[in-house]
Amino acid sequence: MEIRAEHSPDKSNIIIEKNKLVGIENETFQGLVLESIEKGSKNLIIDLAKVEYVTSWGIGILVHAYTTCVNRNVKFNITNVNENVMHVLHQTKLDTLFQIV
Amino acid sequence: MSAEFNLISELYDKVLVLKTEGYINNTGGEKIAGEFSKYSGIEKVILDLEKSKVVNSIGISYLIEVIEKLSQINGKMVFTNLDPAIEKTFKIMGIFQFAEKAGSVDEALK
Amino acid sequence: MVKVSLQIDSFQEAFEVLSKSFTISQMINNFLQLLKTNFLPFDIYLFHRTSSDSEWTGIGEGIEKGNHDLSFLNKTSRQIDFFENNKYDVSVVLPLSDSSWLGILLKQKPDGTEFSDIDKITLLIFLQVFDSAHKAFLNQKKEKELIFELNEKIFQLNNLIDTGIELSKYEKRDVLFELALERISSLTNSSSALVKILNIKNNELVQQYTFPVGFSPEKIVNSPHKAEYSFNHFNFTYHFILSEKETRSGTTSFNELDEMLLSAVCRQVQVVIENEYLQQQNLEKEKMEKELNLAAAIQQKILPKELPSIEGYEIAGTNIPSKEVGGDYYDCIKLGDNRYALIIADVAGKGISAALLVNTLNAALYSYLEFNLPLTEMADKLNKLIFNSSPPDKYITFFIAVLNAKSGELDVVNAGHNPILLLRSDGTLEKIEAGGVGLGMLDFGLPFPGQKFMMNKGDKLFLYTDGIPEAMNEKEEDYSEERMINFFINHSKLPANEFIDLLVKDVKLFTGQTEQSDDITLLEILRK
Repeated sequence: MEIRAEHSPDKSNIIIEKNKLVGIENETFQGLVLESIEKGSKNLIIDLAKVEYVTSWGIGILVHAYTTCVNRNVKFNITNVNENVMHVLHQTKLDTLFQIV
Repeated sequence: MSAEFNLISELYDKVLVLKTEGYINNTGGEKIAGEFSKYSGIEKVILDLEKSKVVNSIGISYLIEVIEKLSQINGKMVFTNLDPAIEKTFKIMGIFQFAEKAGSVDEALK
Repeated sequence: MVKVSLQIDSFQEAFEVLSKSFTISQMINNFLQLLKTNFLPFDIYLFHRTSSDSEWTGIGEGIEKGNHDLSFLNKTSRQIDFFENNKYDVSVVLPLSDSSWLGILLKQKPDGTEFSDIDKITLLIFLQVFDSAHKAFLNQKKEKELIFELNEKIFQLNNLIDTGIELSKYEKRDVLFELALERISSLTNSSSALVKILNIKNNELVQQYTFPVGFSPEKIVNSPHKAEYSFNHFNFTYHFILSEKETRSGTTSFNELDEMLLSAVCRQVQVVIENEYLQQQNLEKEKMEKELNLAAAIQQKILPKELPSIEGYEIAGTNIPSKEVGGDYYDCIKLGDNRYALIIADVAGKGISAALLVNTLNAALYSYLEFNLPLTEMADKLNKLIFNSSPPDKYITFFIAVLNAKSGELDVVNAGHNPILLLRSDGTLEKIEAGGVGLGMLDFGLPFPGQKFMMNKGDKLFLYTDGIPEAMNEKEEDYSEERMINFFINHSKLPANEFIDLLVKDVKLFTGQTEQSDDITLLEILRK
């Protein structure tokens, strides 16, 4: 699976195994986010280790997930962000919002 | 069409009206021939195939048998309400050389 | 002599009657009647057996085998015996051409006459007539069977061609499988048939049809005599099964011809499915093209046809749409009071949804600008509007700079957009970074901080979207922000429209044959 979730009692990891986050993964991605929240996780970590490139739509789906988390009182974190992706997050000022670990 | 073959039979003096429903195959053909052989002195058999859309050659062979038996006693077979595909089949098999067709049972009764 | 000639007529008649009988038993019964009429003084008993090993069957009404001495018929070849003072006067055993046997016993009636010589001859001739008539009957039967078989072949061929035509009729496509099963059953004399449609990946049953409708699929799958054919298309496997080929006496297994007919009909079905699929694809493609054309039309409508001329400044801009209409927008709006709003925006996503969102932005912008709201407040309102009028993952990166042409003051808001470049006359480059996130991203009341700048003589402001720094060549390299900045700096002496042209050319040179994936949008204003 290109996007998968790993759940542990204190957190949920959503790992994106795609090279390019286009945005078309939205349905699957949001599904996993909701699933994690429903399982009672208070901590969501999006792992972008394999992601080299994010399109503007891809950014949109991250924002969507972020909003969902904030609305449900779940911590939203992004980890393993590479240079390219960091650049975009910075440009869009999302680096001040997302917890980047 | 239901999964089972059905036959409704009505006798008007010397005319036997048979209405079929379902696949006219081995079983169906057998039932038709069987029903016909129950009666004697029949002058005309009207076979209404409105509710039958499919027929195979085994079924046809039974129909031919009935037609032959009828012609022995100078009787005749009239097919009514034929599906265009079945009509074509009968035509190719040469059935209309020995039997007739009509648009409806009423027409055939005249 | 008279008797003989009468008898000759009756022989010919006899042959006619016998050979035109419909069945063997009818023929033998007719023969019995014939014998009785011609041998009135005698009691006649007729028997028939299907082979030399089988039992004799009595023919005619009231005949009781038990009452007769069948040992007289115990012969292994053709034999006619005439007896005197015996149980019977004549016994005949006649082998027929189909290996069946005819047996005749004649007994003089109590008041009857003796078997004369003429009677003997008559009998012999009648036997001959019977044998010939029997042969003729069998030939006729064979002939009929042959004609029936031939007609059957013609019927099958015609049915096959017809089936192909019927299956491909557009109005029959909803009943494609039902029709195919009916036809193939009729063609091969199947008792029943089944088609299963399975998902290729997991072999799950998606749909199945039976003929006759309502017949049990399990019975068909488990039947001893089957013919099968499968093919794959797209994500599905289509599996056809024919069950129990019928004959007059029961059911049997399918033969080579049946397999051929099955595969022929299945291939017809396959063609129909493929055509339908291709048609669908075409329709979808057409639909998409229509959408794109619509999006392009919308976008073209809101892009400026002409930029206003601002005294003391040079302004130029362009939008080169990508193949898939993107959501870029730029404009320079005269606000009155010698103020102008320079705008550049980029909608996340492409196609008609992006075009519509830009349309919304454009309409709202014009309205809000009229009310002279502070930019941060306007950005806030635009944010709410875009957030509410689009899906959660759609947003617009937005940059607006309101220029006071007299003073050179620039009021700026950058909402998630690329850093806009301000090149000073002394060569220093300032980057106007985003103050807030993109419009429509979040609804948490996050502010869109404004910034202020001064545009002095010789200063240049360069607005652009992603389309330039992210333009890719065949080696999948980006044009890059760096290259763009360098180009900007190196060609800053050029008049605005020339700069725009040259930069576009440079980007095109870099990308080469690679298709343009994103809109290229730029706007430059310089203070003279």
